[in-house]
Amino acid sequence: MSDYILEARGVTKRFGGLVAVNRVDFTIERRTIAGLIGPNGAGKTTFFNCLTGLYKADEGEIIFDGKYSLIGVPPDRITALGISRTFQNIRLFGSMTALENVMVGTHCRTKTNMIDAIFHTPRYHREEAWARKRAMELLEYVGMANAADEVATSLPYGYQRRLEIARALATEPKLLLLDEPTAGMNPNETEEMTDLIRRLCDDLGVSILLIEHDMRVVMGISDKVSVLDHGELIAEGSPEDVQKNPKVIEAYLGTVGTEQAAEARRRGRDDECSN
Amino acid sequence: MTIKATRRARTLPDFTTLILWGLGGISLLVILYRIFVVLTTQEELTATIWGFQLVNGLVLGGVYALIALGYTLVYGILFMINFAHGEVMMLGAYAGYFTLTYLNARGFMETNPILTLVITFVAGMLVSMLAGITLERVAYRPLRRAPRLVPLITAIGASIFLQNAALRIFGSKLRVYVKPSVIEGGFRLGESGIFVPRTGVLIFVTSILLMIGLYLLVQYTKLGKAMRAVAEDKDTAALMGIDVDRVIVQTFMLGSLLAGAAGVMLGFHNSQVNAFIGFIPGIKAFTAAVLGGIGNIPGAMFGGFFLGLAESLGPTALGIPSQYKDVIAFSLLVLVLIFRPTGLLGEVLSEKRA
Amino acid sequence: MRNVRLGIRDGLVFGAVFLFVVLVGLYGAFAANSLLGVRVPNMIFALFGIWVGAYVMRSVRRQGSQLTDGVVAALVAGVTMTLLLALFTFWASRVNLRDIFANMTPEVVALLTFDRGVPTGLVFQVVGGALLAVAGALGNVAWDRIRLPEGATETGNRLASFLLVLYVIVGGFTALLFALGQWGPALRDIAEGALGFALPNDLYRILRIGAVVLIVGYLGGIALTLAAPAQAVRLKERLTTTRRLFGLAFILLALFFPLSLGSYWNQVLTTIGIFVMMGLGLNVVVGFAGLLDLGYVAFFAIGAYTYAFLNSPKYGLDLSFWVSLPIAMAVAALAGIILGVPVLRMRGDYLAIVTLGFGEIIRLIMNNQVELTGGAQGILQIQPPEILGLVINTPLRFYYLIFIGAVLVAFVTARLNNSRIGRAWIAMREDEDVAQAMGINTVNYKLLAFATGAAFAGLAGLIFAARQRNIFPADFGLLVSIEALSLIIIGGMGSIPGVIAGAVALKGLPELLRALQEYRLLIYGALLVVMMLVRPEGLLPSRRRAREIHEAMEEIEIDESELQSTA
Repeated sequence: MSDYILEARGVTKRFGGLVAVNRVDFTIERRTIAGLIGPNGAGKTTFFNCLTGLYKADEGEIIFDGKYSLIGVPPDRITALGISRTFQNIRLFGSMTALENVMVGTHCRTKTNMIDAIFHTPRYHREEAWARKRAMELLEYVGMANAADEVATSLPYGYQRRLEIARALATEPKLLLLDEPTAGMNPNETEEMTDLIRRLCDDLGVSILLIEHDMRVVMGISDKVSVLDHGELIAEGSPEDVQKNPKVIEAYLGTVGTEQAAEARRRGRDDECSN
Repeated sequence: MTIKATRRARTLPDFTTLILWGLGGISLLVILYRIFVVLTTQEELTATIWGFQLVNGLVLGGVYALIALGYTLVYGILFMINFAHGEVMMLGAYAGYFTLTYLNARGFMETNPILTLVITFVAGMLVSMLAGITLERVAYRPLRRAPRLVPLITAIGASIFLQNAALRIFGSKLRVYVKPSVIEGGFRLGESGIFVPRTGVLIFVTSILLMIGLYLLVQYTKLGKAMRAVAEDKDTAALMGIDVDRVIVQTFMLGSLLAGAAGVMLGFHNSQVNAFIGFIPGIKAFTAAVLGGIGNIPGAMFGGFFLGLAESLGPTALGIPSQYKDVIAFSLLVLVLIFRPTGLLGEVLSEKRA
Repeated sequence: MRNVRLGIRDGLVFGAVFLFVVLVGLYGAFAANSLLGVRVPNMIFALFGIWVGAYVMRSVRRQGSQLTDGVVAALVAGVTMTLLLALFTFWASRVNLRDIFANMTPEVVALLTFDRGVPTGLVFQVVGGALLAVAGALGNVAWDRIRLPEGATETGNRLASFLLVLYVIVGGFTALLFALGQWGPALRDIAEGALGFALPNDLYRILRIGAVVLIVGYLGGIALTLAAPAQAVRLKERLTTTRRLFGLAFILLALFFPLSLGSYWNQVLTTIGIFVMMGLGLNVVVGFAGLLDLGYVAFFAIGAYTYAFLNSPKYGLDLSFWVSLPIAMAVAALAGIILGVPVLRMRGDYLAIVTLGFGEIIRLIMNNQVELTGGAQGILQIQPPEILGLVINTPLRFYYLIFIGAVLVAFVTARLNNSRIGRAWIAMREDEDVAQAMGINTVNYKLLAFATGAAFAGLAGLIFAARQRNIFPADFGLLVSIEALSLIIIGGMGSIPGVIAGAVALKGLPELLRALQEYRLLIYGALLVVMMLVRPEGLLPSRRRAREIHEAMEEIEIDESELQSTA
């Protein structure tokens, strides 16, 4: 069995004359958290979309779990294989409750068909109960069980983000793609979210690929960081290495982020010591 | 290290694409076959008949192009199909009728035929413009931010409403366009003997002039630039200081003006007007707009002529009775939307998927 | 003087609308009838006068102005409206407008002048308009103070207070005129002119009518409190027990009421039933899966023609009902899939047009392929079905057959909705890309929706053919698709009670209001537009749909395209 949960080689995506993703080689080891950073417009979400099948890559190969080639596979099949994601702008099913949103996630793991639905066969009852229970469990896991019956759009922002994750988890992914999960959060919420992400990897064994702009988060929990700029991979390695990489600093044109991250890590180490 | 990669089973999209292309291919073969049969067996189809249909096609094409422009302008800006556009045209046709009849009754038409024509056109265009603006203000503007379904239903409702309102208000009496002697009858083209009706010349020339006018307006005037800006990105245009509401109203105005002219033309072409002449040409004109790529102005012109010619030459070429010309139009619509929804000339606003 | 300008503007708008009503013929059509004791045309005039006053007063108060400003503005509006009317009436009295406007007969002109001829009639108009507008303005102030008992919805309140105020104003005016009329011949003349008929000596008749209106208004308000409130946020809803009781009462009514009706009304009920079935089927396509199908009549036609082929002398077949039924439904479902495949990737508007095109193509084929389908002459002598030895050939029997069918269809769609499949449909409808990302095979589910909807349409078509005994391509025009769609839209999207309400409203009411038969389509179109502007989710929508629509309309537009993000 391969070490890598995901292996992308030479992935390229063009939109007319613009090359959004340019021959990117990328790997994610099992049960790790991989971070993907880069300035705005670098092609991160486009890369995500190629991985999940929303876009079809023009060139390259994507191998999942050592066995499956993902190029040309439709998104729903990719999800069934075990990749799931959240979205940069929250895209919940607005008219459904939180519980229903998560239950939608269980779709690819259940088999109830028309006959079952119409005649309420034992499978229908069994799977409905299971889906409901599973959804509640997931909501509890992300810490919002009390809001299960609230309509999704009436939830506070932090809850909505967590709901997206719960929904994605319902598909039982081996690899979870998170697109800016802490966007718009205050430091407290960010810490809770970071915590949750780590638990997902440690407890549930889910590999995670994370797009983030908050350097504290990325540098804090990633096992490996990759940097994209203008569609190209310009650096890769441990958080410390990447931060010192001159190409990366140039891409961001600033040392501020670097300093903050260094500061945060120092603080993080102190916290661990005092625990 | 070789990595064994298995692909998941083919899912329906690939399967369906196969079926679609298969069906399309078969239809194409059938059509070509029929054309071949017709061309080789039927001798009565002289150049005269072809020529007549060609002329007819060009004339109709001009009319369709004008209406199609209205559709495409509105779609470009609001991303909605103005189902009631055909009815706007119909109202223009009625206005033209009343003006014409009035001028005829006063004897004005005999003494000043050219001026009569101009006034008739202007009347039709103005009434249509009023109708279009009212429609936008009353039915469409309040629903700008509604989910797509809602303005669509409104447009359908408006279409039904206008048709029946016209029927009730103007009655079901037969209304015939009296033609000034200048445009009565026709002439034959040289040796081939192709018959060209004078109304046809009038319609064709007027439609070309109007189209050129529109094109110049959109390309070179401030309004045109504003329209293009709003079509591209409404919010940014607003940030740049463009009064989006006013531009939208002006777009409707333009589209309706053209539709009004088309209505008067149809009146002259078909000689009669009733409350329902807007419906089918409306759908056909929408087909034309889609054919050329919705949002694409030259595309709408192209689509209009393409459809007009296809409709006129089609039945003759395929050897089927002319009642089937509506089927041709609808089939074209379906085929284009299935196989090339961005239109033959390509959609200008191709950001969103078809 | 902003209020004055407002008054003028609104007065002109209302005047234009009134003129429209006159030109369309609605004003003059009911000259022989009376409503609440007033001759109908005069009543229409009164309603417009009151309404413009109330409307202006409401606008003025919204801007925070004083009551007196409102009254002044209302007065201005009333006068403007009637001045416009007067000008037109004057013109109509001088020139014969009948060649242009088919309804401007001399009788209508007489009506407009209250049978008083030109100068006097015009004065009547203007003075009447002014008075009514002021009354309307004051009424607007009054109606806010009227409230139904606790728990009533906003709509219920508004309806009840509206009816009450209307009754008071009209009743009050009528009574006033009555009283005036007793005071001497000149005043009597004025009163009779205003009311439109010779003064009866029976005041009570009018009061009785008014009382009925009042009671109906209150009952209506209460009924509306029990309908789903459009803005419910929580999943649990109040008054579920009451809803269930209503449902039970309705079913009992539907079961036993037809027995007391004659065959004509039973026939009407069968038509309503057929449309309920179609509406429920279309509900699956449009309401659940969110695919706007304007060619639904095609499947209806296919079901009808299949049954006709299998049960008429045309092909010499006479298959049993139980055999024809699954065949017709299967053929229709297949057609649904065939239609579904090409449109899988289309977005809303295009989908609508293409399905419309398909519907028309099917009809044109039915019309022109004479050998196959009988062409315009249709198929005749279709045999009625025979179920368990009973031949279904009376409207009453058809009604029960349809009732059973409709119940089954409703049952199946409800069960589908409350399952994994239903959730997938809802997800697909809300956000197709995200649904796919969550593992839903949108292709399959779209096709499933099309097939299911088509099968139900086929069922409805089958019963239609059996009932009609003769079918023609003319029965299957675009209008049927639009009617089925309107049913759902007006009745309420995505909900079963909504579809039933829509079918009753659109197919039953025209029968009751026979007099308006000619204006049916006109009212249709206007209704569609008005509903979209005022209550786009329909009369009795499902909570979910109502939420969806209102959220979409109230949100500030966010750049929804994930794919254009700048990451």
